Order: sequence, then structure tokens, then C-alpha cells
Amino acid sequence: MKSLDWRTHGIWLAVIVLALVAIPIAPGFLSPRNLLNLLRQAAPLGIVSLGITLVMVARRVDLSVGAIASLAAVMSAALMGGSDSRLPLALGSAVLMGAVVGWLNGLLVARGRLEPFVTTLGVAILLTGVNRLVTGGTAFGVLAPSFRKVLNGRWGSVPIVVVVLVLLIVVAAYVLHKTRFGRALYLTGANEAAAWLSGVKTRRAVIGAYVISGVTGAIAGILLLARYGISGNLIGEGYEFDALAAAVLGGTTFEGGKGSIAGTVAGVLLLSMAYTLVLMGGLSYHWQLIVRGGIIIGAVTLYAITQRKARS
Amino acid sequence: MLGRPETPRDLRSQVGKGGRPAFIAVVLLIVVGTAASAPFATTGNALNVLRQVAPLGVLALGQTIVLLAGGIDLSVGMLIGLAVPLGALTMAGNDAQVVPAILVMLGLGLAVGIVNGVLVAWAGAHPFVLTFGMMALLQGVTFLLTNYRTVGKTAPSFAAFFTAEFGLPGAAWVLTVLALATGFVLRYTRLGRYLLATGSHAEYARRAGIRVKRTTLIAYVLSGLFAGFGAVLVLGRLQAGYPLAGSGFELQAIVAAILGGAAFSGGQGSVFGALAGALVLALVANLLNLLGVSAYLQQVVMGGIIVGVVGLRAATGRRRFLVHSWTNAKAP
Repeated sequence: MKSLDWRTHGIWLAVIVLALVAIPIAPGFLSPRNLLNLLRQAAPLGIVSLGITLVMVARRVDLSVGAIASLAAVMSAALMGGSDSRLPLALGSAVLMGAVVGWLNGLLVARGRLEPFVTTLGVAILLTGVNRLVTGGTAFGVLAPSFRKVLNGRWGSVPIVVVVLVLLIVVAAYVLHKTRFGRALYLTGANEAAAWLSGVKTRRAVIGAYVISGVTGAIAGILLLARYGISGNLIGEGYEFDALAAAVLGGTTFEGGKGSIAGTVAGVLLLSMAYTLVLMGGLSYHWQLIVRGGIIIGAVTLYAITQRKARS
Repeated sequence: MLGRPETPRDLRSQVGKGGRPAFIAVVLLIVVGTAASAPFATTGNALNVLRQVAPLGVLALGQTIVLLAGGIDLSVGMLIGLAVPLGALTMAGNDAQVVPAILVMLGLGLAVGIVNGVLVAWAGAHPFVLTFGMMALLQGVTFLLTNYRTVGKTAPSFAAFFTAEFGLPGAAWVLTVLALATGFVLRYTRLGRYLLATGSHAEYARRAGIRVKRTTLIAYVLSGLFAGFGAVLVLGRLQAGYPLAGSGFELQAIVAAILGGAAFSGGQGSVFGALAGALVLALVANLLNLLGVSAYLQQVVMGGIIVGVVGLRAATGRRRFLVHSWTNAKAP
């Protein structure tokens, strides 16, 4: 337990260091307005990372969330057809699609015992293909007028998207840390055989984690649709890797049984700050990539070194 | 733990066994392809598939080595993305510059491999996140170097090597030599056993006196070097310093390696499997092209086949794991 705590703290240290570095580079970086903006930008990635954390705690991985997000965006845009009255149907079916794909992933991985990385990558490739077959590779569907108004609006001065993010963080933290399901995930990830022998329903836990991951993917897709205003198959592309990186930075491991929602949130903040910082610095795209890569490499290296020092 | 492996030979057959489903898939694809498409089973098409599979095969070998040692390398795709324009710029259409250009590409691979390896082995950085960051960095440098344009010019002799056939296409010979060398190292040398031991259980390997850090470093260096060779082959195929030449290669290489029996838990994988895995991907792409399947539908089929082969592996290989063997053998 103690090492788990330190893992969480270590990444927060990196977040603080990056914030301190940010102040001279981009004045106003720490202003409330900018921070809220940063959270708004971080919301889709954050939501996806929550689902991935649950899956990774159970020693699995989910690479299909980016493709799910993209398909959810296309689906809800197509189904709402420019009419407010069809919003519940459109959003409901997109979320349901996420849940069904997650359930299928879970079945393949938990029941069929398929290799999760390649399986979910295969599912992602398949979904992207379906997506492009349906849309013909172009923007698709007409948004309902109130859809963007609500999701891009603010509650007081807090963007609605940030409210959604915070709510989902609280729910995810409760589910992972306070429920039997959450404990089943940790036990499954730490030692599946022992967990199963002790009466933990390991398969059900894994399938549940994938369903949640699929749903978070769909929600992220809907939020991205609201942000960009047009659906397309590029929405959500590559999110799975950012989300994995965020979770791993936050102390979740591929070996399972470890990780926390707080750590993942810190990982998401770190990556989002890195991305926002290079944007605010006004750098051209290639320098953005270089700085972003440098920050990720530096953070993961420093974090590993400090963690080792703390342990010895 | 598993009841057996007692002798090194037993151990080796355990380690490489995961490649069989990919091999079965290759045979099936060839049978189906011959039945479904007239131009599939021609010499010309076979040579074409070999040309296509060569870069991916080389990358899959490198990835298999890293996976065997318990790591992962996501930077190889963007490493190719940088090495291809760099090689084309160095070559500058000049036959005398061919060797320096190849050395530059291999050198870049070595350098990136050393950085990855040192940071993973000595600093303890997580390989997935680290090489993910390296991927972004290398892509940025590529765009900086090329300004988003195709740059450089290949030399006539370099182009001739890749269009000519010496029994097999030139690229296929490069793959063959590298595959034989890798197979020899993994099977018959101390380094091969060290890689396997490090990936199976790093702590036990360390206690047995194996220099785990150095072994890990070597795995990443080899992965980088193989990406350098891959870049030479990609440049040979494209004959242009195209800045997006490497996109997506890292995932294809990982998929090929995993299809071929490697695993993220480390300590598994074989040369034979990696080649079979790469061939599965190349044959599917080739066959779908010949059948005139649309690019989007191709993706759907490719995704389905990847899941299918992994499923085949799960169905046939239940007793194969050295680690976590119990869960895989006996979950109800």
C-alpha cells in the first residue's frame, strides 16, 4: 500500500514541477480561466483514461477506445439528424454501442482468453473500417442545435464538459476504490488464479471493466463531437495511446493489480499541460511534437528515478 | 509454474510454440488465395509479397527481441520516418554516397536504441511511455528536417539492388540474412538465453548472475538497429525520402510479433513466429488487393483476421505459458 501511495505522489510532484516551469514560459498559465480551459481540453482524454485504468488494474489493456469514440461521434451525429427531439435516442445508442463493443472485447479477452493488446487493436481496426464504410471517409450527419449549445456551455463559470469530467472521476474513484467490483479488479489483476480460487468472479470483473471502458470511449466521442461540431473518423484517433500513457504515468501498470484514479488524473493533467504548454508557446507543429515528446520522456525518466530513490 | 520444462531444448520449444497458429494462418491464406484469385499463385505475385513483407519482417524480428526481453518499442515506426528522409538526403542521387547513407540510417537506429535502452534499463523508465514519447519526438524532428515534403534522391545502384532479383528480391535476401542471424543468436548463444531469462523473470535472472540491465540495453539497441535496416528496405521500396514513410509500422510490427507467439509478459517469441506473423499481415493485404476489395472493407477484414488468429492462438496454446501458466491452463 505504501508504494502505491508514493506512486500517486510522485506523479503529482511532476505535475507541480511542470506548472512551475510553465509560469515563466507562458504567463497566465495558472490563471483560473486558463486552468478551466485546460481541464476542458483534457476532458475527453481524461474520461477515456478512467475506463482504461479499470481495465489495466485487471491486467488487461483496451486499444479500441479511440475507434469507439470515433464511431460514437459518427453514430450520434447521424442519428440526431439536426433535431433536438432525437438527442436522447442518438446519444443513448452511441453509449449503448460503446457498451456492446466493450462487452464483446470483454468476452473475447476474459472468456476466450485472447491476448488483449492485439485483440482490442484488431477490434479497433475493424471498427475504423466500419466507420469509414458508413461515412465514406467524410464528415457525416447533422447536429442538433441544442447539442453543442449545452455541451459547450458553462455552469456559472465552469464549462459543462469539466463538470462531466469531475462527476465521472468521482464515480470512477468510487467504483474502483470503494466497491466489491473495484476490489475484484485489483485481485484479478494481482493474481487471477488466486482470486478465482478465492471465489472472486474474475471473468465478470474483466468484462465489466471493458464495458465501462467502452462507455467512456463513447462519452469521449460525444464530447469531441460537441467540441469540433462535425463528426469524422479522425475524432478520437490515437486517444488510446495517450490514455494508456496517462494511466501508466499515474502508476497503473501493465502487470495489473496496481493503480488509482487519482494517479491517472495526475497523468492526464501532466500530458494535457504538456500539450497546452506547447500550444501556448506558439510553436510550430513540429516543435510542438518535439517538446511534447521531450516532456513525456523527461517526465517518465525523472519519475522512475525519484521513485527508486524513495524506495531505497 | 509448469511441470516441465527441464532441459534447454524443452524450454526452447515452449518459447517458440506460440508461432504455430500464425503458421497455420499462412498456410490457410495461401490455400484460400490460390482458390480465390488466379493471379495470387504466380511467381510475380509471390516475389511482390516478399518485397512487401521484408521491411515489416525485419521490424517484427526487432520487436520480438524486445518483447522476449520483457520490453516494448513503440519508437520504431517514427524512427523509420526519420531515417528514410535522412538516408535519401545523404544519398543525394549519388552512387558513391550509398554506403554512407546506409550507415547513417543504421547509425540513427543504433543511437535511438541506445537512448531507449539506457533510459529503460538504468533510469527504470517505463518502456511503453518512454518509447511513446520518443515516437512524438522523432516525428517532430522528421517534420523539422523535411518541412513536410518528400526530400532527397536515391542513387541508381541503390534502386537497382531493390528492383533486381537474385533468385529472391534484394529486400528478401536482407530479411533472410537478418532472420538467420537473429535465430542463431536467440537459439545458440549466451545472449539469446540472457534475453529469454531477463524477459521471463528479471529478478531471478539477476540473482542467477545475468547482467539484466546490459541485456535490456542490448535488446533496445538491436530493435533500433533493425529499425535502421527496415528504413533501408523502406527507402529501397519507395525510392524517395517520404516523411510519413514510417507511420503505423510500430503497431504492425507489434501485431506481427504477437501473432507469431511473442507476449507482453516477456520470455516468449521466436524468429519463425515473427516471420509467420508478418507474412499473415502481408498475405491478407495482398489477397484483398487482388480481389479488388475496397480499402475500407479491407480494414474490417484485417481487423477480423487479427482477432481470429489471436483466437486461434488462445485456443491452441492453453498450456504454453511459463508465467501465469495456471490461469491459462485451468480457468473454468
